[in-house]
Amino acid sequence: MQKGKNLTYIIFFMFISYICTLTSFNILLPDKAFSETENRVLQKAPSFSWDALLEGDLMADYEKYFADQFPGRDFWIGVKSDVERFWGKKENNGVYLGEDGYLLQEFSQPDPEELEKKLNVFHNFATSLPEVKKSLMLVPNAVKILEDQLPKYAPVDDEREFMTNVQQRLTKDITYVDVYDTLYGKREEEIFYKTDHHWTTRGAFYAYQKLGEYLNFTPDKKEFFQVKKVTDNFYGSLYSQGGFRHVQPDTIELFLPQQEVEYKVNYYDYKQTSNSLYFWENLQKKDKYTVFLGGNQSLIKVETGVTNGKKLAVVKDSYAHCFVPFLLRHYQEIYVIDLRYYNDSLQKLLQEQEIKEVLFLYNVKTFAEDVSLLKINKQ
Amino acid sequence: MVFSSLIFVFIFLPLTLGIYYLAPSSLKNFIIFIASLIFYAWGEPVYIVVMLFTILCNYSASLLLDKYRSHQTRARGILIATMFIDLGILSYYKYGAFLLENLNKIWSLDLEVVSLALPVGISFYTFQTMSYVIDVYKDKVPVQRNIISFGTYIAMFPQLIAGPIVKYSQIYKQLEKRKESLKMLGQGVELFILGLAKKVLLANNVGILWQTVKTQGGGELSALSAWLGIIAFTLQIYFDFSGYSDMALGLGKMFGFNLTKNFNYPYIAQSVTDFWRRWHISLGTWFREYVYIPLGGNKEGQLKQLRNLLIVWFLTGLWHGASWNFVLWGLYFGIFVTAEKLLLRNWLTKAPRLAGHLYTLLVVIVGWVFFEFTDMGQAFNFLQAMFGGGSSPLLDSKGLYYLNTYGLFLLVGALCSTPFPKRFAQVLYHKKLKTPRGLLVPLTYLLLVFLCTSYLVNESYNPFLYFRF
Repeated sequence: MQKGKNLTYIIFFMFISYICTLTSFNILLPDKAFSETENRVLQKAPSFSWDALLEGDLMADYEKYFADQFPGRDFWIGVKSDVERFWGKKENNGVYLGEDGYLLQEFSQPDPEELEKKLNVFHNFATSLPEVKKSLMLVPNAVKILEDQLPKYAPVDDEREFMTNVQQRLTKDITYVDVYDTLYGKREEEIFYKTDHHWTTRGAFYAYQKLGEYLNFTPDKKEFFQVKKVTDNFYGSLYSQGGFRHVQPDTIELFLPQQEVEYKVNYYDYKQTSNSLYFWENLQKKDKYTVFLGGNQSLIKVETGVTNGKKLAVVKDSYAHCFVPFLLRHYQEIYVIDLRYYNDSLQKLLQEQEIKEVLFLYNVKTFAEDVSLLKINKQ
Repeated sequence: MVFSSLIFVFIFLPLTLGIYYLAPSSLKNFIIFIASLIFYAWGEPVYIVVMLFTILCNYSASLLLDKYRSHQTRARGILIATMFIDLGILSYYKYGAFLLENLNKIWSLDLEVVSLALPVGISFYTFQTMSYVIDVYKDKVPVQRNIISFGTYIAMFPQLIAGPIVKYSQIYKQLEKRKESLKMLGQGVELFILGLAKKVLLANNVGILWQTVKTQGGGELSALSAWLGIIAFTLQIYFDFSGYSDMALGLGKMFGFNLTKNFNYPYIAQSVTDFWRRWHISLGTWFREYVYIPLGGNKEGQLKQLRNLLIVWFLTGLWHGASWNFVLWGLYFGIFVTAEKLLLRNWLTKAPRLAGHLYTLLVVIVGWVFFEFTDMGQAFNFLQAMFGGGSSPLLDSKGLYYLNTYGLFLLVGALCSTPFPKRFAQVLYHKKLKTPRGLLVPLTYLLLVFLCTSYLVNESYNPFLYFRF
């Protein structure tokens, strides 16, 4: 057993040196305030108080602090993700790892009662505003359009089924803008980000082409735009959420008009006006998608140089952020409203500003899950 | 604090070990005692008072017992009073709400039910302290006059929160005199790493599958999903519990204690009786020694034996939690053990080994369904899904997906619940150290710690998802 004993010693010394090395790194390395990969503020060293001690909060915070400041935190997170990949785990936190490195966000059918409620709300909205032209554009997510990327047998509900259901049951006073086939036909192109839950500007462009048919404007052709890559180093929300490593970062493209178009934007939340829909400085941040409109805001008003007198309200989620720039040449005024943050009455806004067209623009997942839509009839 | 946390592995353990080995031997128990109190107070700063009270109370009671040893009635009175206090505290925290609920139901009363948070480890340390007082009463062990030594026995952090239930008679000599050695330290580290890996790498991961299946609900489960799910739980509870016990044994060794083994590959058992000799051994022996045998065991005729078995299995079930499903689970095993004693013994010895294994696994796995669902209706729905009754399909895409993503893992898990990996390692152990194969063993341990670290760091992986308002 002599040899067994030697091995035991080796294991003991390895263990002790391993622990001591990591712990000394932990003490020596300075604390980090923010994690880029997780997109959150890291726990700072907790300060002592008797209350916190007796409640146990002090210890809980200290454990968080220790884990958050653990040396090589991102490296360890990557190791775990690799091990899980080895075992065949293809899903994490509701994100699937697709075949070609596409991260796909799961979808499950909402409760039928919830949907019923939403459709009723739309019905009431339509009856109370008969003179307004109303349309709803539902954008399918990557999980459906790129479903052949999903791991085999992945238990994801069918977004198409949900969309058809909505289309059939939606009040006829609201035009259903069907972009499914358009997007499906372009699935070979990069119409969704690999690491983010949004569609790309390219995806939005194709939907814009289709929207013209419904809203009676002539969309600008591809040649009208200059496609500009503004970053090729975008790790989006699904990258953080799923924690999968070894995926390529995304490129963000903007479709900018070849000739400059003048307009004025009023960002009410930020209490500022600007001549641009783009927040260039956000390209330096983690969430580079906020280059479009500067992220979620309750209300934005765009006044364009167009003099056709047409006013459009876009009631939307963040899929609209890269979509709105396409509308500039077709409306005189565009109001962009996010019901998750907008707490005033939508109907009042429409009446006061004499807006005669409303476009609801939602991706399927948000449309299915979000409850703020129920606020559209608020007086 | 739990063993499977960064704070324990990287701060508490090295610090305690360092101080322990630097201190003179007269202070060693004191250090373990203080360290244990910190360990306990880390997550339960207030309930430490309950534990200290239990320690003080049983310590004084045993001194009194010793003093009045010749006076039979007084000694008996003290014993009963102490048991009353110990079980009273346990019942107050663990069974109070359960008791009131049932009283309300039976007599349609309207007593207010307040459910208290359960002090961690109370079921374990209460049984330990009872074993001590009873043994002092029976004069099986000498009374402990040193309160630090006694406190160390009760609060000793390696076994404080999840066992094994160490009987005082097994350990009192080691409390006074034990020899730490580099070899024991090394063996302790080995056991600790194995236990940690069982808990962090195996149990937690199969646990995720079980949680997914469990929340899916009986109605729409396919037989495939149900089986994969309950097999995942079967592995989870074993790796969780035995991993914790391994860590306890390992930590004990690091401080010079030899604690008794709590698990002995229960899933290779060939009968249900055999299973219980291998599963949570310290609990089984405790009930045997302090309930079954004092009640007369099998010495007073078959009828009394049956009664005694009934009591023991009822209590075994109840010990696992204050809910009827645990009682049912205990009695369920009681029925099989009794049946094996009375009827099946011959059949089992004659039957091929494989039949014994399959029968036992089936009984155990079905048992886990009762263990996991507090609600009987849910348990039966789940069983229906497993055995193809009702409307549930045999296969569905969810089940296939689970098979696809967890199949390999479950297979490796099942393999790890047998003695096979250990035998394999033992072969390697005897190879010459200089050969690469000899180095495989320490490298495997290092790899395990490395992987555990990454999983532990990930426990706090908590991305902030900005689009979720």
